[in-house]
Amino acid sequence: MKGQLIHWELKKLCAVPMFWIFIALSIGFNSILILSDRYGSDYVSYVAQVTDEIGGQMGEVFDFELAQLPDAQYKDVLIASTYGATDIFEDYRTIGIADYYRSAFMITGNAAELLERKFESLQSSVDELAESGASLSLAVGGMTQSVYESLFHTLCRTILAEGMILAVLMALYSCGCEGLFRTSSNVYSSRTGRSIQKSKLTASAITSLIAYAAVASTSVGIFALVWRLGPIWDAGMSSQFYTVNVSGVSTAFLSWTEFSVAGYLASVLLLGVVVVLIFHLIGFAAGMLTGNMYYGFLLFFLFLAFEFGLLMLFGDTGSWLLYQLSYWTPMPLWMGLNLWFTGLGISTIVQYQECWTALLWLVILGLLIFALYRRFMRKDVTEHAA
Amino acid sequence: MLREELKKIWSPWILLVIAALGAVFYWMFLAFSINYFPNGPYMQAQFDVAAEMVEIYGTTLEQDEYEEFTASLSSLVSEADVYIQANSLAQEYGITSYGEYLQFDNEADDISDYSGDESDLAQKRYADAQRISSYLISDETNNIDGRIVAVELYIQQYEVWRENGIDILAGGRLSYSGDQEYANALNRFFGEEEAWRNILPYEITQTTSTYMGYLLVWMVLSACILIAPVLVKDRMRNIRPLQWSSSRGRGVLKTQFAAIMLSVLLLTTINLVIFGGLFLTNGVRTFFECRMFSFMMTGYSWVNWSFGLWCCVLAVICYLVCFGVGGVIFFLSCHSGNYISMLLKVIPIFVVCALLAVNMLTFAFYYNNTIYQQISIPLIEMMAAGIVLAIGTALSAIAVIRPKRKDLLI
Repeated sequence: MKGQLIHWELKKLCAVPMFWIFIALSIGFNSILILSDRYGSDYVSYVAQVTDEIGGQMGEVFDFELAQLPDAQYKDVLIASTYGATDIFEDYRTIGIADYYRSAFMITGNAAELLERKFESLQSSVDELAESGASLSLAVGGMTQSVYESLFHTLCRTILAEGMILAVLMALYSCGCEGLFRTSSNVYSSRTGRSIQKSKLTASAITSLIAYAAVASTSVGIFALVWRLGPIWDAGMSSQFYTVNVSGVSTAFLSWTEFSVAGYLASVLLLGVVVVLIFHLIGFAAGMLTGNMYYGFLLFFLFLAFEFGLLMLFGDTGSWLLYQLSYWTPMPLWMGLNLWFTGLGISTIVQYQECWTALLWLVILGLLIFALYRRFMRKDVTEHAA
Repeated sequence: MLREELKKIWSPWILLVIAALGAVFYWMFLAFSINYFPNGPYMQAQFDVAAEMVEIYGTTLEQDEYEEFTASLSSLVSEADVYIQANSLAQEYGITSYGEYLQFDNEADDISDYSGDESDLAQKRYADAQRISSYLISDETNNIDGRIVAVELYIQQYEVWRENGIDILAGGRLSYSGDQEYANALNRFFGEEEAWRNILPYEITQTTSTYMGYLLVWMVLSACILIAPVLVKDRMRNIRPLQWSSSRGRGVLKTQFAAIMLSVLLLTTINLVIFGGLFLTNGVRTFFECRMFSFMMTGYSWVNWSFGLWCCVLAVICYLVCFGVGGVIFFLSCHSGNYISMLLKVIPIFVVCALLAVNMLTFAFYYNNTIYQQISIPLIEMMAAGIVLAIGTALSAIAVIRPKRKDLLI
């Protein structure tokens, strides 16, 4: 019976044409983002071809083999950017970044200690990256920065934002649709009664994830078709051609473990699933709390604004410990997407903080939803369009 | 009826939400243009020197005034000499004049990297040069170094324009773009009036237009939050059949449209007064009479209005866009069965408007406006605002007229 209820709730959600239109618009928007920035695609194809032929690990052998390849339009450019490349992680000391942050942002006390501890533990990851020669990965050569940024900074962030918006709206709709159709009295007085909210929660979570999966897979598929990265999908994320600028420090991509492009993309999209679920739960909680779809949305919006406000307040006033604590909230999860699985920045203080934050909020929101559900079970039914 | 509709729109809860979001938005996107304008001591000096020039010489710097302005440089240098002689660190190095300080600073700068190890002589000289530099741009010295650099910069820029005049466009900055159209347009006012003699620092147009761009984003967002739910609520609560079957009939849509437009007008005005007023506290009012095209490398404008008039035109664009968006939202609300459907329509509209707003108003009516750079149609900013208004008007007309032929279905 429960499966049947979830099925009916799914049908209700799928019957809203605007959800389908929004998904189509999202895919259209992402396609525009991808297609409007195709500068250097010839060069990328050449790098992919070279990687296929002689491998993607720079060094003396690579230099020799690259020189032996037949002349091509971008051969000299590639030689110029790769010849004599050395491992930048060999003598890399992460504590230097912590020192810079401490002096530049005047970070003291516990905040400085936490930061120092994080960068100390990052050193072992950097040593491992040095051992595997991760920085010598050719990646996309001179176009690495541009391609990685368009994939992770722009596309993945947009996909996740779209997934989050859809999740919140689907949760609000599912939560409030009985009020909308004036069926709440009938539904809540049935044998299943108010526990129908559990089916609604499950159904809206499923549709949110399906919507996110549809937008993500289509958009990444279009990206793959347009750029044709081929063997570059196996290239390293910590290539010396890719740098990230975090709080005024431009560094290589210092991840906790070594990632290939495909592996990192999969990890980002998977963690994105949890983030979408978190936002779905926030939406559902807002809907249950207000009993009105629009007010629920405004409450959610205010929550986001409040989070931004806190970040700005603590950052501007130099309250760095509070600033670091405020990063354990859902919105900064999305904001810091381009640094996921790295130890960079002043905002994170433990390894894989984004994963722990996501887990923490799943628990918090689970408890909140449970409390709201219990409140809902005792509440009088009011019949009005929500 | 209009009053009743306005009461429905101006719900106190929604207003509270708008106020809270407005405060956060201001903090995130707008406050920087006020708190950090001019940005840094050197920009502050450029701003102050330009403001002094406007006070003394008026909105243009004519040749005889320029000679007088050039002469002020030597008195500034003498003032700097006095400050240098009073500085103990400068005395330590035997520096007695501003000229000697510049030479010292130049030599001290010749290190590859600053390590902070002041036991090394070169490192110590570098650090001390920085300390003297900080002293010379501090309040203690009335930012004398910044003012000297600003005066030198303006003299250099004035000389470039005086020597090259309109030819600077033919042989210089525009030659690579091949944009003859701009050179022709510029000839219309530049050739006759020697418009380059106008005084207007670059940072003013940049900051003002960027601020207005973000302000327009907020105006659109706040308008969406305020007006979007009203008609949806009527429809969800089955008030529409009641309204349509009343003596006023379907004409109620006209009243609702008028109420929405009036609300947009009011909200846009409130936003403009509050946030525009806050922006004006940064002192840009001094330049209201100055014209947009200036030897201070303000950029190549398509028109040569006064800065004040330009600000007014930007405000008019804000109104046009907000009215246009209001019309679109009115149409979408009429065709939304519930809040979620409405939000799913409004969110993409807002994203498009936000992208458009910042690109449309940043350096509006200047050659380096982003939309102009993409489309190459002069004055595209005003046209884009007109197009948004036209779309809004057309959709509103459809939303008002079509129901007259429609069956009333509950």
